[in-house]
Amino acid sequence: MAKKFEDLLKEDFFRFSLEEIKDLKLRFFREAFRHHYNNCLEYKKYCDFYKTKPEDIKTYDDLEKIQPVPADAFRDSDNLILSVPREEVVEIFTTSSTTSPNPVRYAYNQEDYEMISKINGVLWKDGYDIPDARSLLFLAPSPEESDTGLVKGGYLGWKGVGFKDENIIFGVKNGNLDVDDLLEKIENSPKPITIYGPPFAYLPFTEKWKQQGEKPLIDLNGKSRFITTGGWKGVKHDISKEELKEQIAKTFNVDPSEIRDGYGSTDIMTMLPECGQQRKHVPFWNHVSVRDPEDTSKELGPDKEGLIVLMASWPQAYPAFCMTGDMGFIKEEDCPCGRKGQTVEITGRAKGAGARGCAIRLEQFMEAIQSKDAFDF
Amino acid sequence: MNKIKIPFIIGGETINREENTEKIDFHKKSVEISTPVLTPEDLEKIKKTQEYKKSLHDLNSEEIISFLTKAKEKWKKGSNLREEAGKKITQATGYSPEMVDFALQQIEDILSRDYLELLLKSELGNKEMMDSWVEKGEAYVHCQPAGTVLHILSGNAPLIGIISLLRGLLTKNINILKMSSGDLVTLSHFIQIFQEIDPDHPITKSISAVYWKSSGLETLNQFVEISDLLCVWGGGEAVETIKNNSQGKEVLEFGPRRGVQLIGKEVFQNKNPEYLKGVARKGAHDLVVFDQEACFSPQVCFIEGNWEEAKKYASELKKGLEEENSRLPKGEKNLQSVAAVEHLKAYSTFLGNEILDSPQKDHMIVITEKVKHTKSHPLGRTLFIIPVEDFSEAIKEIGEETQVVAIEPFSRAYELREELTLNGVDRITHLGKMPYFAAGAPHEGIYPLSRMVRWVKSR
Repeated sequence: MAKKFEDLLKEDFFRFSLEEIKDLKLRFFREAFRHHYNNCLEYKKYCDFYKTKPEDIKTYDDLEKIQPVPADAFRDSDNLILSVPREEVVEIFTTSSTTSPNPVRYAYNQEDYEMISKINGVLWKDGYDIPDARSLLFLAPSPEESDTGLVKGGYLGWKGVGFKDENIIFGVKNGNLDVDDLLEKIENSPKPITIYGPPFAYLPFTEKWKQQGEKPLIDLNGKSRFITTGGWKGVKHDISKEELKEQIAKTFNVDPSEIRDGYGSTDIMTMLPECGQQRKHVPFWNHVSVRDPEDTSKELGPDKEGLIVLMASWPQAYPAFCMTGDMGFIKEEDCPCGRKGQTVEITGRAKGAGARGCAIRLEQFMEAIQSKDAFDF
Repeated sequence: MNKIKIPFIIGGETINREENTEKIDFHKKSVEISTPVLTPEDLEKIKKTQEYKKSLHDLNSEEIISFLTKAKEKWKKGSNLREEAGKKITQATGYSPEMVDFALQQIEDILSRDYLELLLKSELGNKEMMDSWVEKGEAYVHCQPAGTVLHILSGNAPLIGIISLLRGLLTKNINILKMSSGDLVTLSHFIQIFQEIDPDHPITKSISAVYWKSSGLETLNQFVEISDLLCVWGGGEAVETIKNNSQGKEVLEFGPRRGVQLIGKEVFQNKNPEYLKGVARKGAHDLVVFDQEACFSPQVCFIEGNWEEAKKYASELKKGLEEENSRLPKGEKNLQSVAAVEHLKAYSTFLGNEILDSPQKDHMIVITEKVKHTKSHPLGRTLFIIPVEDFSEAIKEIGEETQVVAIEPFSRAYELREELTLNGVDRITHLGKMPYFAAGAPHEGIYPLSRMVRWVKSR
């Protein structure tokens, strides 16, 4: 008898063989496609237009027939795109775009909501090599202050890793990030400490490091793990990943290998974790389909650059087969870190598709509050 | 591998280097473009061009115009320099040879004496204004050059660099041009004509055309420091960067903006099918010029009619686009641009909009009733058609992001132009004329020449 999804989460899923991973993907994505085709009217119409039916999905290679939905359609559709009755929706997560003031909206039912914590918990614990969930500095507002996926989904995911509320510090309050206060809190927190946030949230620390003659602000060597996510193309601060990584390492006196990026996406409510080899791994419940830029119905093989489609098999409330507007490529080979399955590399954005991501929305959020403070003076 | 080496031009000297060069990111794998790396010595030489301020000032406008008309002769169709530039521009921009030829002809056209004199006369009020003191009101008025103008150019249309330079020359300014990675060829080739005409002429000696990466803020700041006025062309990010680093210097902004077409109900009331065909052909022409990359290019077309009439127009427009494509073929686009069009196609299909495209990916027409479905635009000869009951619905959606509105029939312009321009539109024109700027008309709400001088008086 086939193992249940939740039982598989308890296994060493990143070390399943490539064949096992492909079998699991075929099984879960075929089910997911059937569910959304049968229960989401807009999605069915869309698939019918392209003459794609659930019966067409017979092999792993047939996953390319699952019609991807451009993420912006989740923003501009008149109605919330749903594969479950509206009354079952318990939460809506949002993400931003630079082309519209309105956010992209993804709905979750109770089962999905609980799953966010479960899947991200096991994914990040393994993917980021976090054996001991002692304390977490969340370089973002608390979930009460922000409805972005980075914050709300991130909070649920880190809880799933095992961090307890009393050991989670929210680094942004009322739009402010107080570096001195946070350094004190880091000092007093149980170690190892995991520090998580969008790239720009690390800048106040690195700025202070520069002001203090580039001497480390604190020594966290061997006592920490740094995670960045949420997009590198900010509204204001353009700094390369490499530059920021180097500055964070020097600011906190840690080895650069302690600083990991994640490909975070509210579209599938997860963050694909970067291993020590700087590869972002895709678990069996997600699938990255790279589409031909000239014909998005065709999938490109590994190592070929195209439009990224992020897919998740577990959400019931909406068809999580999202064409993000990101460009990139996948690899399908064993990683030297020991994990198997797809890895994904992002190379940029399709021109015209505005930069999206939670980090942008958070930065706007912080700026808005900071400018309000400025007026008060 | 086809290698194109772009020289710097500094004070009349062409600088080619074998070493200390940088490759420019370019989408065509078969072409490698490189420029010299800007050095502190280059910057020093550029500073020295300011020594020509006085001799440039002492030229009279007639001498400048005469010099430029000599450049026109050397840029005529068939000339070696133009042919060579044309080939390289095609390789380095991705535009088709026909489109490049169209652009090069535009350059030849604006180098005419009539055009240049009209520019001076209409923008400064009198073509003698740069040379003498002209009685105006109770005073004698005269224009002095601003000094040194830094032009930050964009690469979406080959004409841009030349227009910006001509404005700087007619106002007797020292000109430093930062070429765009999108088009490094046009300007660097064009300026070499000046050396052929007279290598020691103050015009030749006072111009510099260089390149550095847009992320090089330190370099930008060094150039801003030695400049008196900044002219910036390009996208929102480029304009913002320059404004944030202007050191209090005046910035003349050109872009980013878009065009809108308005097709009136009269077009559908007319019983002659040739009329609709002609309208669609004009609409198609506006769309194809510079593959929709220009600030005047239409992105949205409002049809005063119903869904069926919108489809009828779209169908004729599609034929028009096919015809135009045989005259001005679409160029080669990078992967990101191609992907953006396909992304929009999937998005529009999901949202139930109607799509007309071509198997060759030469164009795409999306008919939609919702303006919010048009907010992300991939360019690449893509037009949104929105049927509206009345133009009053369309006008609500047109603001300062729109540079030009083309109206068919043009008789409707008289009732619409006041409100449209009050909302921020810069230019109202005929359908089919969107790519053509009338000589002597303002640009982006200003007369640029009048802002590139200091107005002085005596009484």
